[in-house]
Amino acid sequence: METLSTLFQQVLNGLSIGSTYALIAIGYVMLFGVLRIVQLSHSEIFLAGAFFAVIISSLLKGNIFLVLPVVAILTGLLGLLVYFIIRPLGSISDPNSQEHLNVLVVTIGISTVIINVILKYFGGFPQKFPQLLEYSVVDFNFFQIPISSIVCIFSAFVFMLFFRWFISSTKTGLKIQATTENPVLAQSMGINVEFITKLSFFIASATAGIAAVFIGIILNYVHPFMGAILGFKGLIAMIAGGVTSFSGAVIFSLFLGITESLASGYISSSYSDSVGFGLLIIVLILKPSGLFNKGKE
Amino acid sequence: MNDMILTLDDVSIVRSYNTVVRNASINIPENSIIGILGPNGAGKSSLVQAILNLIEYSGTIKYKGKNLKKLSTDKITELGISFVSSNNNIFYGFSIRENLKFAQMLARKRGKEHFSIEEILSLFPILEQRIDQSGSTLSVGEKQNVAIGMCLLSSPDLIILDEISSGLSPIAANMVFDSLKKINEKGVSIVLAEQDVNNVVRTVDSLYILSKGEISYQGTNLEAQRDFSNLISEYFGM
Repeated sequence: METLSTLFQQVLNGLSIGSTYALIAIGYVMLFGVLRIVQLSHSEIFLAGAFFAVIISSLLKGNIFLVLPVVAILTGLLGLLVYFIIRPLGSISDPNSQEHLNVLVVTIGISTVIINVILKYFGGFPQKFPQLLEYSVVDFNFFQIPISSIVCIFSAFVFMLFFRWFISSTKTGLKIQATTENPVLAQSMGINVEFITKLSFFIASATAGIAAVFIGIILNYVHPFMGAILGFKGLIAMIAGGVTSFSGAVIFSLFLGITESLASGYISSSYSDSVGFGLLIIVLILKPSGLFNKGKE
Repeated sequence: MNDMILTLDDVSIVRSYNTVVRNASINIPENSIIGILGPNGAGKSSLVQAILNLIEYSGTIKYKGKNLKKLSTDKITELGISFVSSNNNIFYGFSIRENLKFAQMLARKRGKEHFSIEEILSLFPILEQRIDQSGSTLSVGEKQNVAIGMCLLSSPDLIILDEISSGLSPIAANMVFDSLKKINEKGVSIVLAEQDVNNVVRTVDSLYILSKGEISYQGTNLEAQRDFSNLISEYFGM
């Protein structure tokens, strides 16, 4: 019974962390689709979201229903700012162009600036994350789970379902999906790709902000260097999931979270961050285009 | 004489320091089918991309008298120009039905509707049998049919088809060109940027040959048929 209890515990832990990876990965998929490069400052937008939550929680009296949307809007606006910084750098539709490389390097620069600003105001130490949910534990007899984890898993799933509905059933969502898959075709069909790109930056960054709040709730702390490692998890899920597949990114994120948690519980927590890259290498050897890539001619 | 739906006046295009199109002037009358023939690298695709403002060019391109130079691609398509390229011309993440419905959804209400989804399916019956099949699993010919269907659902007055016979079997290519006549009968003007000499000559009302970026031949369908052997030598540069 104890073995089963540990297994359940680890799977639920993995689901809670995996669902936040999924929120980050969704953003990467969206941004890669419209930019055709990895927007490397996305992980630091996520980081900024965590610190926005720390700052505004006291102003909003720790009300999660206010903190969550305000952080989402703030990170969404920060994402738009990144868009306006990289937009004048030139055409980014040709992956072999110099402009493409310029954009890539500038997004690394933006990451550094965000980290430096956070270091300046918060120092290099972990910060306690405000208690947005009452601490209590749900006891299932043979295993226990904090209510905050259940709320995070549930909320992340509700958000992902909403996102799935939005992206596959609304006019704007379908335009985003089309632009993500084939921006040139989307443009030639009359879609305002410029507007869709701005909107994608806002939504992807807002989603990272929501992920940041959930991560803060799960970990109880945030620190100025957490963006890179958690951002990498989202990136791994995006690539292994098939780069332009939203469903692929979500499924692989959950799988990654659970695998990491099992590795942590049964082998050693020291290896948990290596698991993701190990899985990515295996997936890319077996299926270089990613697990759920829709393929092109 | 018909009014011109599209005019290209003295258009030149430079890409990566090479002039790929030089001083091209082409007139496309309303309700006509015009062919632009040329081998690989002749500049056909560049010309098509210039019409849609996807690349920089010098000269003037006017659609129904309106200069397109300052307009973004989405605004140009909104005016009633639709475009089909030879590859990556449908959304692979969508099924045939979803691709067609998406195109219909995007169609601006410009006061007329040339085609319904049912008409597209009757034009290309194979699509009905595979209506829920994902775009990524279709053959090249089926993709071309879906792409033309999507293009027509946007209620265009002018469609530009860039090498649609590329990768098609002769039978499939014949079927596509046959369908263009039916589409034209509905009042849609068509520009074909092509390499398939036989099908182009039997389909178009008039013809231009683009050779090394310059217009080297211009004639009506009758003239083109009369000049067919000369035209072949002009086309192949022999």
